[in-house]
Amino acid sequence: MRSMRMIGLLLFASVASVLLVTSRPASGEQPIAFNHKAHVSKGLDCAICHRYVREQAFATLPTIETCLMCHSAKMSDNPEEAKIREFAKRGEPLRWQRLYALSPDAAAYFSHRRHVTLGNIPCATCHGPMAERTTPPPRALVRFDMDFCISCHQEKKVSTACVACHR
Amino acid sequence: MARWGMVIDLDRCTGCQACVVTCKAENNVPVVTPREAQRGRLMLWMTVIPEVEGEFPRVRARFTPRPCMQCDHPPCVKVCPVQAMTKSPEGTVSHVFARCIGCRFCVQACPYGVTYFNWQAPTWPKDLREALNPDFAIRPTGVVEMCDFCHHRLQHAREEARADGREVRGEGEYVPACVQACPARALIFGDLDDPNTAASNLAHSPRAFRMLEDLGTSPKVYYLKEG
Ligand code: HEC
Ligand code: HEC
Ligand code: HEC
Ligand code: HEC
Ligand code: HEC
Repeated sequence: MRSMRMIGLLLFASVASVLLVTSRPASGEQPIAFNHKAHVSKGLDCAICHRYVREQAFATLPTIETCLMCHSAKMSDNPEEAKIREFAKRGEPLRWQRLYALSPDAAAYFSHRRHVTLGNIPCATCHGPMAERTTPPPRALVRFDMDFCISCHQEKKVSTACVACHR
Repeated sequence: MARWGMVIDLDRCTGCQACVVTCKAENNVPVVTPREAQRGRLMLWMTVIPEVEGEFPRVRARFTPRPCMQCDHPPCVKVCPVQAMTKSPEGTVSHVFARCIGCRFCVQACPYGVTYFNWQAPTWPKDLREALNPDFAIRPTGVVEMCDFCHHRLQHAREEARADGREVRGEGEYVPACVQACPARALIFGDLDDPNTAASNLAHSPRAFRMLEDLGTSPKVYYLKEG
């Protein structure tokens, strides 16, 4: 009995260490330290990178092709900027870590178009001062739970029936 | 406000099962093995009930498509202790899976047997797994599931209508998947309170009846008798 337990413990320890070594970057760690302020302050529209934010449910995160529209040639001495071309040379896609995602168990329908285009709600109302960020935030700046949705819907007299959101 | 309802013309139904297959695909309804099916664990939010009359060569088959009856006085909603089973302002009965505690009161209360308890983790063969509908929930194990007139389709239709600055039209813009798939046009869907829709006209026709009408559940699914 004793030795079985020891073997189990050893097995667990070895599996755990393998998992630790090969695990993905910690959440919030991005492939490139992207600077929102540097871009937005130059007058870049959010939809250049979050392409479908006005037309569809998902805003989407930019692919490397979007970055290369401007960054195919060297633009600054910032090593983070050089990374873009390194990724492109290796043919490696940019795997941005998502900060905002509703719980899949809740199966709620959220549409950016409905809120941004039809509801005229500014991005900052829900995403906080993202445009001011000089580094990627390690975690979501605003916590999205059901109260977050419901409290605004109540205030703006929008439907709060379960079936308006859940599916 | 619209009151969505369905009319099923029994004269037109050929029993082809297109509605049954479409419903499974649209709503990510898990597939079970034949063995599980024999134990009564087959889940069919929409099903076609066959009845054979007479003896060969004088046989006659009747087919009765059966979705959720979408009662105006739904017993399932009444008995749900956690208000997971809800009736929307438009009258559609729908289930918030995240809220369900799996008590199965609704399964007992429903006189039509359209609510299913999912006993196992959902499984699909590989090809179907890749074809799951991202517009609808994949249910956790241990909750009750049932037809909700493809309510997720109404969410999209509402957004389109809102973009045009109007309400969803009573007919044509929002239809459940089974209605869209029926090749015999035996399923007709629309706003029952709008006198201009085919559904509301047919629901008032002398051929129309509803299942177990005397229970007082007032279903929003009407059947048209065979002529
Ligand atoms: C030049 C491209 C670019 C522009 C312009 C841009 N973004 Fe981003 N955005 C990104 C990238 C890259 C990320 C992922 C890295 C990060 O989180 O910083 C991101 C992440 C985000 C996220 C977090 C999404 C998530 O779930 O991970 C939000 C919110 C966001 N941006 C909002 C905005 C808003 C609001 C604007 C306009 C004011 C804007 N962005 C303009 C490239 C851009
Ligand atoms: C009403 C609140 C709200 C507003 C306004 C809003 N968002 Fe979002 N955003 C969300 C929610 C909720 C999610 C998570 C969606 C999900 O998980 O389905 C999200 C996710 C995102 C993401 C993650 C990736 C993706 O594909 O969805 C990005 C990027 C983003 N938003 C950008 C923006 C930008 C840019 C704007 C302004 C043009 C904006 N959002 C306005 C609520 C909002
Ligand atoms: C429309 C043109 C454009 C696009 C698209 C664009 N950038 Fe930039 N980017 C710029 C400009 C202009 C600067 C220089 C800003 C400055 O010097 O202040 C810059 C600067 C940078 C820097 C250096 C920022 C700093 O702090 O000095 C990084 C890193 C960067 N971009 C990453 C990206 C990534 C990653 C993408 C793709 C998601 C991207 N950019 C897309 C125009 C663009
Ligand atoms: C800051 C306010 C605000 C927040 C936060 C917000 N909403 Fe909304 N929502 C609105 C407004 C305003 C509308 C109506 C837009 C219009 O005019 O069409 C709306 C409409 C909707 C609709 C369509 C309702 C219908 O009757 O068709 C859905 C679904 C929805 N929101 C889901 C969500 C979800 C899910 C969240 C949380 C992740 C959320 N909303 C957070 C303001 C908000
Ligand atoms: C305005 C949109 C909206 C409405 C209306 C709404 N919900 Fe939610 N609900 C959400 C969102 C978004 C989440 C997920 C939040 C998250 O990601 O943590 C959620 C989460 C939940 C959860 C927790 C699920 C989980 O596993 O995290 C339950 C239970 C729930 N909702 C039940 C209900 C019931 C019951 C009603 C009707 C009385 C309702 N909701 C109405 C948007 C809504």
